[in-house]
Amino acid sequence: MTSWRGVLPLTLPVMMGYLPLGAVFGVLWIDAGLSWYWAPLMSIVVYAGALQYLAVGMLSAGIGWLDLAVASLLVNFRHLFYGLSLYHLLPKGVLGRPYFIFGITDETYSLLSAPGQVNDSKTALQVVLFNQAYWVLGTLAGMVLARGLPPGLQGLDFALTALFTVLAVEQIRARRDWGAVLLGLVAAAVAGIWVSDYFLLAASMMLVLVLLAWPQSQAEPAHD
Amino acid sequence: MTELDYLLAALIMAAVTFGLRAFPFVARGFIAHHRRIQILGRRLPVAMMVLLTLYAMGVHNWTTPADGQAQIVAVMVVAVLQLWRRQALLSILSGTLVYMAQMNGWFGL
Repeated sequence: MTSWRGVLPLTLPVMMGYLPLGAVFGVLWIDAGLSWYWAPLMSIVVYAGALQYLAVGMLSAGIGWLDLAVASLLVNFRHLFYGLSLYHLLPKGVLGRPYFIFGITDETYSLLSAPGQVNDSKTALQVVLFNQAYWVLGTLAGMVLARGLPPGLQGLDFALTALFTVLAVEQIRARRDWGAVLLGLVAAAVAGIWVSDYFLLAASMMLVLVLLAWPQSQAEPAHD
Repeated sequence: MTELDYLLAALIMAAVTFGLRAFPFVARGFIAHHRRIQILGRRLPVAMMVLLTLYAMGVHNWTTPADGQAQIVAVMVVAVLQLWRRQALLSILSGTLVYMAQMNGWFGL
């Protein structure tokens, strides 16, 4: 088991990322004119980077609840499988267990699933807690920074596009699945031309349906 | 946005995200026995991130490619930096700076 003091160096790389990225969220939230104290509340209650960025634009545009739910599902769909490799770290406690599950973000997952880094559930829980603390602190720092920005400054919201670009590059690097890349481009083109009002919903449904119906190359029969 | 709207938004996002993160812990057997779900889990994130990038670029609101010129330039900066240096923060901040320079007319852009 690692002491509290040992968790700090372990989570240092995440801190380097979460403080500034949390700050960008805080800046965007304030910049969009949304209620200020809901910025840290979102970072505490939701705790999902890309989705929180996306929500800034959606909430300030007054988008519907169904759209928000669908967006949450799609943006965080990749989390569906993270738990499979963290089962051995799941805490036993009634509070610890759900909090651990709640806190499995991309970065926390990559830290906890790396071999030999964390071997017991108590340390794992501390890692989750530290990482979220960085995210919330970053958010608060961003809110302060946003007050000092010159008025009329444009283009800060590109940080969301940049974040998705980084995630896309890393997904492509890891999988080299050019068929899936092409599918994403085609779905975007089709939805953009014919149903641009429901772009994200239509395009993502296309992705799910096409991938589910995709012929399986392996000889192993499907169970569904 | 009323207080209730903020609360509802937070609860919706939190519930869906928690559900996704909790799913593998309660449905290990289900995932293990459904190859199509496994394939979806491997391939969807790739396609989805490409789609989300295009969505964030606002491609669905462009009438001519010129509408997205600043976005396209900045996304290329981010992608090249990420491929080269693999430091997410560096890529995001540089790309945002390039985009803002174009939007605000800095350095004569």
